[in-house]
Amino acid sequence: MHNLKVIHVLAYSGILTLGMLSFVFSKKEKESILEKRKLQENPIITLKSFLDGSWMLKYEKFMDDHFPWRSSFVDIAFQLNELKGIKNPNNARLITKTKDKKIDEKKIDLNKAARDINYLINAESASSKGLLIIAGRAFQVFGGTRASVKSYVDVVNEYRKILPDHVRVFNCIVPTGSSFIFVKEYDYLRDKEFKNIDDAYSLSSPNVINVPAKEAIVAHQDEYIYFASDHHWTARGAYYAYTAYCQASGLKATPLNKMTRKVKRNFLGTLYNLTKDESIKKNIDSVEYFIPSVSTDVKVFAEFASGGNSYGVFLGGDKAHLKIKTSVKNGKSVVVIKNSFGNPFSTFLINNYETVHVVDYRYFDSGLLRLIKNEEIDDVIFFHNVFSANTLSHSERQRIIKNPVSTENSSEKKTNEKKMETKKTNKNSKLELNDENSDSDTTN
Amino acid sequence: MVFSSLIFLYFFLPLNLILYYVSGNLVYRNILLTLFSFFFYAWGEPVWIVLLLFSALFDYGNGILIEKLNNKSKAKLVVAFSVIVNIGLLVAFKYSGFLYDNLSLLINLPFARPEVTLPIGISFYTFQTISYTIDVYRGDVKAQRNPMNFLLFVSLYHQLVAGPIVRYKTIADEINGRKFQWNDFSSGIGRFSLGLFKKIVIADAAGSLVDNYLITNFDLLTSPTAWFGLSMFAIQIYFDFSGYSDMAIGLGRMFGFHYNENFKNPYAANSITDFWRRWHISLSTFFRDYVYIPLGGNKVGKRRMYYNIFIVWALTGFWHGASWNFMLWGLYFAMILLIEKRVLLSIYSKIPIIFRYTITLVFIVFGWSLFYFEDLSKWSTFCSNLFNFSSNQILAFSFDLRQNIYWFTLVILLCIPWDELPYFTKRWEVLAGNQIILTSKIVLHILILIICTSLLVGSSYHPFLYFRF
Repeated sequence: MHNLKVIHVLAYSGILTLGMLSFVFSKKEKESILEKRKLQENPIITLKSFLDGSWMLKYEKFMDDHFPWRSSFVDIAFQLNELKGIKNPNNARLITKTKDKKIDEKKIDLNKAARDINYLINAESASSKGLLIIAGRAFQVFGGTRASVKSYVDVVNEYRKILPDHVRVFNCIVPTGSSFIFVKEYDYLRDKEFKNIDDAYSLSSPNVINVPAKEAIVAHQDEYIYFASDHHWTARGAYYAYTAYCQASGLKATPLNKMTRKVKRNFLGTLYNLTKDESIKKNIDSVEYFIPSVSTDVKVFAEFASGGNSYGVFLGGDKAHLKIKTSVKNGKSVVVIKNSFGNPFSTFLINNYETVHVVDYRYFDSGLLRLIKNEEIDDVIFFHNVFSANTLSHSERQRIIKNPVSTENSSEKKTNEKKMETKKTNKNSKLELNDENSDSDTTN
Repeated sequence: MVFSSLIFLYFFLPLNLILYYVSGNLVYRNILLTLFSFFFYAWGEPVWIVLLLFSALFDYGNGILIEKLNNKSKAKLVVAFSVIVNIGLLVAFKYSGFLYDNLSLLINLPFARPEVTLPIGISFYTFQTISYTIDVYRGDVKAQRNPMNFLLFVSLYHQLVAGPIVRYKTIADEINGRKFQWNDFSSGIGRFSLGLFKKIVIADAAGSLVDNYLITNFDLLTSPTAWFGLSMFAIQIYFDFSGYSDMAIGLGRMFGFHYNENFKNPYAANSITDFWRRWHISLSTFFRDYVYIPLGGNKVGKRRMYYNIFIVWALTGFWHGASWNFMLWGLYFAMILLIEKRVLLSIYSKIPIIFRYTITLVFIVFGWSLFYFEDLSKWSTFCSNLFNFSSNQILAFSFDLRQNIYWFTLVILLCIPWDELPYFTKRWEVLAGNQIILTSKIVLHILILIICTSLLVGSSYHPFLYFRF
């Protein structure tokens, strides 16, 4: 009996010590492929960073990120969470977002946020109320309101007011996959998203042209228009939004069969990585893309994209500003203001414009009005899914890039979005990301 | 630093244990523990070390002074001085913002609102040093002559930041005379594992559910969901706090200290009086010994006793935070205590015992709503939700219930006072020395460690929603 207690003590403290030693002596990776992010580096200690406690915070994060056998422990954690209860009908389950507390607690202004891409990305799904997994597909549960979408539409209206009359402004908001679950219990999710889009369009000023994308998508709702494992949508879904856009802007949509169809197989996207759900894994996606016959000066499709990165085939991922010259010699030019949801959509526009500018408002920071003026843009499209249209920090960001106080005159074409120094300090830019939901809920 | 972190489990603790047991001499060991405690404290708040040092040295001096003064009334002055300075520190760092806000409602204050951050653990260690000087004055304990030893008592990282409030007399002898026993260490590991499990597996999981109901979907709550959310908070706060106390007690044992129990199955209380004998015992006994009894306790007239009860409970509530709702929370219990004494106890004796437990539990859980909402207007909205019986069905509720049903069962099992049921304690005594039981304990504790490590590592897993290419 006494011996067992000695074993108890030695085994337990032995494991703790072993953990310590393997952390100290393990090889430290720089990036996580699975999480698609840079891991925390070993922070350098200075008197200042020690006294204000920031070194400790970083060091803890460093340890979290480089803990020995990290991926195995993460897998165990996911499996443990499955053990907490029983599955729902249709194998549905709801995963409420694991919030990054460190971000939550801090009140941050957007200039700081723009510098740290983590904040923006975190905010991307701020209007999401969790993940619903059902029948091998994952969906984000929408939580936006009329008030939260209004702050976005206000920004579009502001642009409309400032821009000269000959520039057309389009507002295009598309639903997400959770509008297309087709299980009666969750029909209310569709109602919520659709109502929000209708609200947004009714708030647009009369001179803004609303794109009736959701109607066009609904007409093809039985097709493969949303991924099961990713929060983005397929090029096919984007194509129907494109047809709606053509209709609204008086263009002739190029039929799908006039383009070259290609497919990338074995795509497990972000929602799978977030949930590690086996049923989704069985339902593995593929990324279909359509190459227009029009020739372009820059590559529009990054055909080397593969596996979990396959969605990057469209425009090669998110760039602050991409300018595409096409062989359509009609003198027309368009700018799409978008996040990654707009990438496949943008690829279709090269069928109809001589110049296509694609601006990712999250990374672009050199003055949108100036771009529109200098490049003599004819059409401006604000392209959003219903989540990002309801995310306050994103609306605010689009307002800020309208006319930054001081802009650099060097190269606008920034392909490296990591270099995101914001030079302007805008009074309006103060924003508490964590208050987004409560803001929109109470001001309604 | 907190116990439930990788840095503590796989860096601080093993390093501390190794260095501690490598140094054979108790004097070195005490110095080492003090240094580690300072490091532990500095991990979050390096600057406030100064305050901790001041507080410790100040009452170290007071203790000796009180003992040296033969004159009782002079010694009393020193005690009063010590209490005033300690409470003064607490007021300055914890309550100054609150006082400013409330005073400025009445008069125009000529200065700006003091923005002080709350130094971690100040509510605990000021109370520890107060109890020390009073105990020396009362002659319950001898003053500590060695400043290093006293510093160890005040800064000991086991209980420094989140309790229990360990009194000097509890560990006075152990500071200089504790002995190593494998049995202590082994039971310490068991206790620490239990605490870790309570904190990470129960409290943190309950916490994420609380956020869903009491923050994000707040405006959509109906009666069952509001009660569900509130119960989750009740689970979170109990398992969080008692888990922390368990870990503190367990760590103490690993180093040969024996702290008093802080929680004893509080949700199995059969009255609110009983609840406060089971909940945060080190705090309620502090107020009992240093406030309630000096005020006359219950050996006074009825009216005076009620007055004493209200004072003590207002203070108890207020200790938890600088906001009116905490004081109201305390007064809420004072009120129920009075109702119990006058009416309820006689009713309880006439109804089946199960109702008695249920009513008490409902009182407790409802009380947590006052604790949770610092904004009283929010609280009143929430209360209207608690009794809103419209049929606004919420998806998340049925999901959460089903998805967590086994976890939920586990929580209930852990709230049952097994150690108070003679049927089980008798059998446990027989089994306790059994080889198989001991072996499975070892396995269980390691299993808990692996589970908790996974969940800690898992919570650092943040894949990007929008990747860049």
